[in-house]
Amino acid sequence: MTRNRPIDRTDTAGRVLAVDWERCAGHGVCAAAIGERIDLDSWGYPIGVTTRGEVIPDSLVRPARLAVAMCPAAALRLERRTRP
Amino acid sequence: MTDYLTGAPRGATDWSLPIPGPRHAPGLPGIALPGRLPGRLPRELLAPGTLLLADVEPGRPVNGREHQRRWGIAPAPGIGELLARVAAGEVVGAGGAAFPTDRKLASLAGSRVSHVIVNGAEGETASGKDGVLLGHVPHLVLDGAVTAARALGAPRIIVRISADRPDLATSLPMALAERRDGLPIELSVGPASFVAGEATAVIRAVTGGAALPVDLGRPPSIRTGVARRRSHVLLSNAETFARMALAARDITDRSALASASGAVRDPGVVELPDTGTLADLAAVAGGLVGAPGALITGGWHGRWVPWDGLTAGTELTRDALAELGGRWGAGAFVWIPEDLPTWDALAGVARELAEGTAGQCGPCWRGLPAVARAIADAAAGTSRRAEIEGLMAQVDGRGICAHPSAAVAAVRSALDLIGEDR
Repeated sequence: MTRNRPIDRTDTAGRVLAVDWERCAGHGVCAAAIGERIDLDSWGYPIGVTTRGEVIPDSLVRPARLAVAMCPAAALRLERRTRP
Repeated sequence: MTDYLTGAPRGATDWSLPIPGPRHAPGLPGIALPGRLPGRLPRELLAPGTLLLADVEPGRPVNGREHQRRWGIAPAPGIGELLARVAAGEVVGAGGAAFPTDRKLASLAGSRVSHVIVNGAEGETASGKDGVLLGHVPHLVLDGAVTAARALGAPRIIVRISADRPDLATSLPMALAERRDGLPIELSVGPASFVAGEATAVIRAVTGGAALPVDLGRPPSIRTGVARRRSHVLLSNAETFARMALAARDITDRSALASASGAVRDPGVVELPDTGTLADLAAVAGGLVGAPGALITGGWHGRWVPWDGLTAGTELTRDALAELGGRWGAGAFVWIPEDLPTWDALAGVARELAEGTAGQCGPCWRGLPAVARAIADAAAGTSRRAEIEGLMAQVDGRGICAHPSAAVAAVRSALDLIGEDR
């Protein structure tokens, strides 16, 4: 059950921000929290680092965690990159 | 109506059996979709015994006794032996993904497998092959499922069909009543929507949920039993199970099962040796109407290619189609009628794809209708390709199932075919 393993906060390597598209309702809070490298599409859904499985740069890991915590729909997860 | 090779008139015994339908694609107005088998293939083209539908009487399911006379009793190989035979038979997933079936089986070997699911819920309106197989050779499909279930130790089998095939809901219970496998086989009927036939949607539905896709990142597994342990599911397309049944018997089949529709005189499901070409497919489907300029290969999620000599001579294999820039998918081929402008055809298909959204993921259910509107505008001359591309970039890769990405890829291939008209 790797999904439920607590995040090791000292380990920032190789993380991706994943959107649960079933939950995401386009509130746009993530774009406000992360700022750069994440935009909203024509309908308000996040586009950018979230959609192509790009690894989050170290400088953005803290804002990304904030975005995960603030997402009103609980639609964001910070995941270890497991799939290519 | 004349015989495809000899040119002789077809006799009264010819197959022009209406199986239910005909359904019409909202995508291409006026195109009847294949719910039936059109013509009988000339004997000369057949290597006897290698076709799934060889010697089948149109419209009548082969019963258990006839089935055993033709194919013998289903063997019961262990998982190792089954893997070897399925690999040797080069069986791949026939729902569209073409994933090697032996690898799928190998991934489940040794796991607790609770269900074997036969997916006959064809959401793709341009495809009719799974309904034709279940309606004519149900025992071949069931043999494959039983063989797999025995090898994997799965205790039950579910056959999933779509509600728009009431004929199967009548004929399949009769076939199931003839089985003496000692394994419970259930029939499950789902909604007739595009994504309801998607693999994870079927698994979710038969285990008590909605017929909607589940996140691709989660492996197809479900919770069952008192212990609530996770158990696994083998789900494959109906055609895959039929081919598995032949592979388990060490019979090599080299056939292509295709649905032909659009600008053909006698749309339907055709089985040909895989050395046949797309021109042969068109000929067996009654011949082309007029001079179509384009062919959709692989159904609404497929690729659009020009209908020219190169395409016509392409063999009915996944590799040959891929080399052409086409796609086999689930074997659905739609010839765009000569009198239907390609932009209008694309607008229709884009509308079908937009209506096909499960409505779960925002970028898909908001994006695909926007793409369809932009294409309709382009067809009317008031929009440009750049606008369509801009919208598609916001849809591509953004959803839990493959529908948005596959829809975008199909539309892109059509735009490439059309060129920079608008």
